[in-house]
Order: sequence, then structure tokens, then C-alpha cells
Amino acid sequence: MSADASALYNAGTAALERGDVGQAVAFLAAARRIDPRAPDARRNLAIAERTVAAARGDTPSALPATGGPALALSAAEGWWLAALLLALGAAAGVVAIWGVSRKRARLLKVSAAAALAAGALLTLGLGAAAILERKHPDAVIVVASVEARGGVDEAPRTPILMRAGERVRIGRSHGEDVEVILGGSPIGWVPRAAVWHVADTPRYTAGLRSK
Amino acid sequence: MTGSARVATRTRVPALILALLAAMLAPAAAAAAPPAALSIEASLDPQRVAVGQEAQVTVVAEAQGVALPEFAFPPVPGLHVVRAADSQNFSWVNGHLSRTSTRVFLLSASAPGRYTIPPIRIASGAARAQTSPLVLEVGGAPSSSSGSLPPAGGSGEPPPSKVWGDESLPELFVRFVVDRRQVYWNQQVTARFLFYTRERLEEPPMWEIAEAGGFWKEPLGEMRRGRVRVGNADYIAFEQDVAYFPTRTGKLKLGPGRVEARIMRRVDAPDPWSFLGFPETRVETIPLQTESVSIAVLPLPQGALPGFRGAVGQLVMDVKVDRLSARAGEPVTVTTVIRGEGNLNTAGDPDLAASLSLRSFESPATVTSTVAGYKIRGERRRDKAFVPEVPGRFSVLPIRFTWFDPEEGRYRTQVSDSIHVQVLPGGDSSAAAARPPEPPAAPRRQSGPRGALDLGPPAGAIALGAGSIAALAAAAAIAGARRRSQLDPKRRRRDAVARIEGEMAALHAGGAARATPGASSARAASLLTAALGVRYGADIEGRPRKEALRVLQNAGADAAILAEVDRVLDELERLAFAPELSTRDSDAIARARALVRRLAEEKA
Repeated sequence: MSADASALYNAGTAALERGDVGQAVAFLAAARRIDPRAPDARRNLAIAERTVAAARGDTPSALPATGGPALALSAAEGWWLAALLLALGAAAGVVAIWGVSRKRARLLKVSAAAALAAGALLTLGLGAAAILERKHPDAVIVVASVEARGGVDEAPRTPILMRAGERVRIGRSHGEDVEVILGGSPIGWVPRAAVWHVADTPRYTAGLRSK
Repeated sequence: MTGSARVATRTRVPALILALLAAMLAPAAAAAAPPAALSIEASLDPQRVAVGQEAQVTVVAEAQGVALPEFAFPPVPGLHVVRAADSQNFSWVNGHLSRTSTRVFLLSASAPGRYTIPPIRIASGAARAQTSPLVLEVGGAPSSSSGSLPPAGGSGEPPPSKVWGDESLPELFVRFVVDRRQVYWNQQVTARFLFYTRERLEEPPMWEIAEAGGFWKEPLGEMRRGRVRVGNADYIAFEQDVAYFPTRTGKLKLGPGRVEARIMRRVDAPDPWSFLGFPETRVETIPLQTESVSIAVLPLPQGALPGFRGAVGQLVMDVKVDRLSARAGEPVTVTTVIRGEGNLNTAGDPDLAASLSLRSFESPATVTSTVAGYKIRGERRRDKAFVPEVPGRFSVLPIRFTWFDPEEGRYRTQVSDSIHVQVLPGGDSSAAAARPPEPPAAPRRQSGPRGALDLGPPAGAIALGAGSIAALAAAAAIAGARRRSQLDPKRRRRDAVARIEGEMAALHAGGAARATPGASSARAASLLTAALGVRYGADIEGRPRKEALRVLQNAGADAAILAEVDRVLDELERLAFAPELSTRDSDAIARARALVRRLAEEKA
């Protein structure tokens, strides 16, 4: 499903201005997925993340300086780049096999192998990210604070306080609760309404417009 | 308390030659404003020693500003004074620079008596300060470990002594100095392990410090090295400092410290066969050991104030709250920071409570420490978050921190004010708590770009990548099949016969136009022979015809074929050497061509 990066950016900026850092991080992270090099989205995402980090008590040196690298690619751009590298490598390989002298064939084979390897690595990385996103979607805490508690049938554990704007991944779901994962480890269960999937944020922009 | 190891005893070294001049820090080069305030304090530990044993005077001078006036130990008849160590500290407090100089003197007396140390005075401009007089009592003989304080020389017998070179100037020796012998529970004892050498070492000595039961141990930085003068000789001194915090009361033992010195000695008689003639050295390992020291650990006085959790030292508490206005559901974090000198790892945290029953989350305390001179200085930080659920107002109740100050010998308490927090409704956008620290970039007026939030691959990219890989795989498969077929011997033979047959056809087609029919016949005979060799896999090139036919027969050639070959070759050879009409020539080549075609068809 296609989404409008500017609509997400505007929703995130409005949320940031009214102090709703959870929604701001969710909207701006979504906008950055589509258009990762947009300087205004990077700036506002950095501001939102700094606000979250400061509220968490991080030291000033640990606050994020920018909202991600300036030369980042979106997932779609990455996939196209990988496909292009594979196509170039394949074309060079076909020419090396069929069309040229032995000396040129060696150069072409090396070029083809490099392009194919780069394309394959990029494909693997993007594929791993896509699988992770499908299995454990990227999400943001959107309520002011929420306790991540142990599950119903799980051993009791110390509740962990999570604040608005903290990035998590979503694991299993049970009733109205979902499991949150931080740093690869599940840390507890929170109400489903307390988190937004980054990929689902466009439907909340429609809700904002209707308001 | 000294321990020394010496070799080749000739005479005893006087125990009083224990001078140490540590110059670890150079004085500040330039002085800024004249000092506005001066203070100086001196302490003597212990106050009673035996003849030949040492007492330690620690003088701490402090001045605001960069410049700190010099001071000297006043002469005391009958006392031998050695300036043992210097350290200087600078600190900024509330924008004011202050400088502290700590100087340690070691005193010893050769006769019993009561020695009064007059005040030590410093002056800078109009500001003046002086210490109180100190009294050192020197007894007649070294006392044992009985009594209220242990003797200055430490308990136990000194280790066996060895001396190198001049008896009065040992080439290497070790010492173990503690800053105090009587402390309260959890009060710092600074132990200094010193190694002096006049020899060349292969590597710096590594102290092995015996485990001190009943102490929490913290090394005070890396080993330091400096050049000092002891008596009339210059030494290289290595010093390792360790802070010990007693964890139980009673008489505890520290040390001994052990060290192995690896000394490089020059061999007097160099090897006469040495090509370069360099002086030879050998490494000698010498173990050294200090004495151990008894420390009297006093229990903390009775009557601890409420809230005491075991903090001992010169401490102070700061309290911070991250916001005074929050929305309902937003956590308010209260941070307590205890900082100062002391063992902050075992200092408990003060209680934190709110006026209302709120959800709260407490994080474990974190301790960071640094070494300041001979002291451990640091801070202990603990966060606790309160989550108000309903709008209104709540207070963080006064926070009480109690600790024991060993220098003053009493408990002290610090209490913070109440902290009032306003709680706004959850949906109120006017809450200042989550306001961004800087203005965000402006909203956009145009829409786009559009894209997918899914991280999966676009269909076009899949088609391009997969199609490219499939095309490459197909090309590689076709090329491989072609290469394999080219390497097949049957196919290679068939191709070779077909090529000869084509050449023979060309030879036949140009028959009448040739100017040299003899050459054509010879070429046709050669091609026919080559075709036969390829067809039957026999090497008949260059062999006489009879022998070639026999080889072909052995390779499986049919007799009828061989007869026909013999006849055609005979005719071609005759024509080659005696050319006749071009028609006959052409006929013979045609027969040879037909024969080759037959061989090719058989092969196929």
C-alpha cells in the first residue's frame, strides 16, 4: 500500500509541536521510511528522539544528533539497487561467456562477480530486515507511559516502565495485549493500544484529517 | 614501617635513612590573582612511637586562586624529618578556583622524649594561616602490638634483610606506608607500596599485594614512577597506592606486599669470544617483601540517626527532578546523587516517597568513582520514577540522607525540601514536559513523494533480479553444454572428418582451373590419409602406404574399404608424380572425395 510521505511528515510535525512525542516518532519514522534523505524529516525525527532520550534521563552526549544517515536509501530503493546490481552482473556474465575475447572475458567475469556479490549481499540484508519486520514489526510507544509486565502464564518479572516515543518491536499477541521486544529480548506485555506499528501509521493520518 | 631486602651483609643500614622526595606534580608556572583565603591543617599519626620508628605528619594547605604559598616543616631538635610525598589538586567550585597541597613528612627520633612540633605557617599578602602545635611521644623501645594503637613500625618481625654495595645505601628496598592505623568501619585507609632502586631494571616491578581479609579494596590508579633522593643517593621509586575500606571491626591485618625485581647486572668479565665485544648483562630476580600492618577498626558510634544506611565519608547529597509539571500517565523521575569521598559502593540510598500512592519504578544505583590524590572520590546516582494517574498535585516528600563523617567522628544528616509536581490532564497539549527542545522544521505544503511502508521487495525489482539471474543461469548452462560437447572425442572426430570432407569438396570443385594438377592429387591423397586416421583413430601420417593399410586393418577397417583406399591412393600418387589430363585428375579426386564422404557418413 502506497503512502504519502508529506502527509506523514506533517502529522509527525504537528504531534511534535503539541508535545506528543510518541506519535511524532511514529509518524516521522514512517515518513523517513519512504523518503529517508528529506532533511526536514530527519531534523524533526532527531528532535523527537532527543526529547524522548532526555525524558529517559540519558546524558546529553548520548542524545541522537540526527535522525539517521543523510545518504540512506528507502527499502524500495535498496531493493531496486540490488536488482540492478544483479542485472548488471548477469549481463556482464552473459557477455563474458558468449561474446568477447579471453582477455576481456576475465575482466568482465571479475566485474560480474563483484556486482553479483554486492547485489546478493544487499538482497540478503534487505531480506533479513523484511523478514524481521514481518515477524516482529517496528513499533513506537504512543502513550505517556506504560508498564511492560509479565504475561498471564509466565513467571513473574519486574515491570519495566516505558515512555512515549520509545522504539520497540512487537512479538506475540494475546487478547488485548502484545509482547514488546527490546534489543532482541522480550521484556513484557503492554496493551495493544499503547503501541503503533510504524507501517500502520498512514491510517492514523486519515483519522487526524477527519478531526 | 619499612621492609627492606639486602644482599651481602657487611654492616647494618641505619633504619632512619628513609628519605623520600616525591615530585609527581610540577607546581603551576604562573600565578593568577593573589589568594583570597588560606587554610592549613596538620595531623600526626601515630602520636606515640618507639625510638627508630616513624610517625607521619600530613599537612594540607588550601588557597583560593592559582597561587599557593610555599611552606616548610619547622626544625625540631632531636627529630629527623624527611619530606616523603607531595600532591596537589585544583578544583573549580561555583566558578572559583581553589588549590590544595598535601605534603607528607616522616618523623623519627633517636632518643626517647616528648617532641613538640611548632605551628606550620603560611602567608600570602595579608592572608595568614597556621596549624596547631603537635606533640610526638617517643618511647624507649619498640612496642608490641598491644596497646590502643599499633607501633609505627608495624606489627611482626621485619623480614630478613639483604644489602648490595654500600652498607649505608641499599641498592634496592621496599616500603609499605599507611596513612592511618586507626579507622572507623568503612573509612578509607590509604596504603602506599613503594619500591626504590638504584639498579637498572629489566621491567617495572609488579606488586603482588596479599589479600587483606575484612577490607574492600580499590586501586588508586596506575603505578607511578619518579626519581627521589634518599639519604645521599638518588633512587628510582615506583609507587602503587591502594585504598582499603574495612568491612568489619577489630584488629585487621594489611599486607605484606611482595614484589619481584628483575635487575640487569653487568657481567664483569665479558665473553672474550664475543664478536661485537658488547658488555654482557644477566638478569637477576630478587624477591622483596614488606612488613604487614595492623589496623584497628573501630565500630561506628552508637546513636545512628534515622535513615543511616552505612555511608561513611565526606559526602553530600543532591536531589533532582526531571519535571515539575507532567500530564497524567507521564512519569516524573527523581534522582538522588550522593557525591564525595568514601566508599560509595556500600553506601545505601535514601528513601524516596511521594505524598500520594503512586506507581513507582526504581532503577538500581550506579556508582562512578575517580581517584583524587590518595582519595577515592565519586558519585552514586539512583533514579526513581513516579507515575501520577490523575490530574492534580503531588509532592515528593523530603529526602533524608544520613552518613557518618569519620573526620568529625559524628553522624550527619541532610534533608531536602519537598518537591511539588503539578499533574495536568492526560490529553492537555499545553503540558510543557514533552515540549521539543528546539523548534521543529515547518510543515510541508505539497504532497509526496509516495512510497510503500512495507520493507518487502517491489514486484518489478523481483522480476528484474530474478530474470537476470535466470538469464545468467541459462547462458551458463548453454555454454557449459557446448563446452562439454566440444570436449567429446566422438564429436571431435566427426567434426574433423567433416572438415576434411569440405576441404576435399573444395579441391574437387576447383579441379579444372588448377594450374598444377599434380599438387592437387598429392593434397587429395594427404587429405584421404588424414580422414582415414581420424576415422579409425590410427596414427598413419607419414607411414608407407602398405604399413598404413596394415595399421588401419588392425584398427578395424573393412577389407573392401582398404582395397578401395589402396586403389585410389595408388592412382592419386601416380597423378601426383606424372600428371596427365585434368579430367583424369578430377576423376581421381572425385573418387577420393566420395571415399571421404563415405567415411564421414560411417562416422555419423
